[in-house]
Amino acid sequence: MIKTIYIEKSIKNHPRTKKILKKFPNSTQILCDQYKEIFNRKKQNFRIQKSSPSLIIAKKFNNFVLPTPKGLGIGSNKNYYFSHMLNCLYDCRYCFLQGMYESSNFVLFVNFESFVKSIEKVIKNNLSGEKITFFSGYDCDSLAMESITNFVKFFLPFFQEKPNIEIELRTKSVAIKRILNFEPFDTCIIAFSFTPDEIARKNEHGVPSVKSRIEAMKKLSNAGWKLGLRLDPIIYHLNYKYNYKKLIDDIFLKVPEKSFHSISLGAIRFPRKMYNKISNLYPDEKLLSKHFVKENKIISYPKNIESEIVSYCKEYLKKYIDENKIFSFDPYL
Amino acid sequence: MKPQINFVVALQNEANPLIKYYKLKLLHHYPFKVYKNNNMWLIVSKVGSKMIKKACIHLSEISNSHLYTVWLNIGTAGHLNYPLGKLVIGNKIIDDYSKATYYPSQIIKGKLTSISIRTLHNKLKKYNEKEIFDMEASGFFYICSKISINEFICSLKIISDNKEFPEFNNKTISSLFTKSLKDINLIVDEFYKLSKKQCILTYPNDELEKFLNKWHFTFTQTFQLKKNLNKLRFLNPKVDFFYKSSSYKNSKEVLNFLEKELMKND
Repeated sequence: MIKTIYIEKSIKNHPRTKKILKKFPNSTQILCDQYKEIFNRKKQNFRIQKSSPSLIIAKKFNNFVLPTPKGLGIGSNKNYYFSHMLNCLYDCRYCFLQGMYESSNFVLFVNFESFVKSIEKVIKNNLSGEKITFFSGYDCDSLAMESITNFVKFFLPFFQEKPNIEIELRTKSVAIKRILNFEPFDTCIIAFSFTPDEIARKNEHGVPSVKSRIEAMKKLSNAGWKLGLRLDPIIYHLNYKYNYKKLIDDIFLKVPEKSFHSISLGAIRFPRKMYNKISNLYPDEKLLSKHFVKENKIISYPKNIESEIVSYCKEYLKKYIDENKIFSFDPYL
Repeated sequence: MKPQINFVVALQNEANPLIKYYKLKLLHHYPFKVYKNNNMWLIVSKVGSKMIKKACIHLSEISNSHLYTVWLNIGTAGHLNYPLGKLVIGNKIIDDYSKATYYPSQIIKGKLTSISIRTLHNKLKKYNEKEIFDMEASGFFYICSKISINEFICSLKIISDNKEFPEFNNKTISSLFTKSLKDINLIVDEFYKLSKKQCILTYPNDELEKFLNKWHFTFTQTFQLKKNLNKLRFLNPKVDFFYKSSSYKNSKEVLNFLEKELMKND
């Protein structure tokens, strides 16, 4: 567990900070002026840190809510994301966070109220009344560290009061107990990411098994929650047709179609710089040694492979779900 | 690239127990005393931040240190009430004069107490409980953070004075160090393993040289060559790609061949 905690001096007495520190009485606690002193500094190794990440408790000052990259969305006209945390408890070899940050330490921003203010502002400025979706879980996992962050406990009641605003909590975690304590509401989507079991076992380190994630979805479905299925990234491999077919079958065998708000899918791809950084960190990783191609500063599978795997999954999903609920992601359009 | 440990200590009396324990041999006297044994190096920097900066640069040059060389500063420090001889590890280094602050990685710290180190340029006026006081750590970090990565830089301090025994006694230093050697070695072992682990991930220079000697590669091609060879050696550890490339006429053909070999693994 977490052995070292860095705390920004300005929030050392914040009630959330105090609560978190109480959970780690044996940790080494180090005061700092700004989280960036530790998190952003050059010449640190993401891979080594991942073996024992520290927690950095910080205060965020700006950019609380940002528009999602073009191409990301699940049906709304306006899409925004917000990140109360940077970095994830899990260690997925295909994750873009490995190439995005210098450090794999967790940064937790404790000023949740400032996020809420910014979200309120976005809603207030939406004069045309277009449908808005807020996404959580791009720079972190929304649920994995709930016992420390109390993110769900704080944000769900807020969004519960906003009947026309959608919130997606993206996760690979099965820590759904906190959510099950709330009354479900249709504008909250608990979205689970998957790769087939064979790929997950090799590349998703520390992540709950595919089986247990499906079980978690089933429990949420039974309780009346809306779900999202995210086949993102889709990984090309020898048995991909069989494996994706099995994954989709396994999910729909347990979870009824009506529980799904949306399904989204997209093949693995990285901005070039990000890919170079990740493949330098993990030269021994087979997934990153695959022969990707470079086009417009994006590293991806060759177009024919990319469209083959996305089309295959999309077609197979149609067996279970209306096409209108299926969205293809292309985050680097 | 081979795993390497570079010790940096200020005083000869601090160095002697380490020299004996790791069987280091004197390499030269000037400009600093440097000792060596295989992949372990030790330099005696003399007291103060300025001296340790110079010593680190010198050791970096003569030891051919690389990104995964472990830099260990082992020295003495004062604290309000820690007992003499207590071994601690720095988690924050503050230069008392410039206020520059460094945050050493805490990935390897064994069971040692982790504490903030304040590096002084003048004599200590008053001890406090929250930090220990030394004269070198900030200079050491200033240089090492430019030449190595944070996870491989560490400052270990042995308490040499406190409120009860405020006089620094050079004669007792060796015995304080000797008593800590076992604990120091546990930390050294951990760092050595980590350095080894990272070095294994780097493509061996002598293997790359074979290619560079046979064909002419541009700067960009060399980068590509190294990257592809490194991926291939993990995918097909038993294959000799130099041998398999030997019939190709130029660098372009070699790179094409390696690309195709990577493709085969899809």
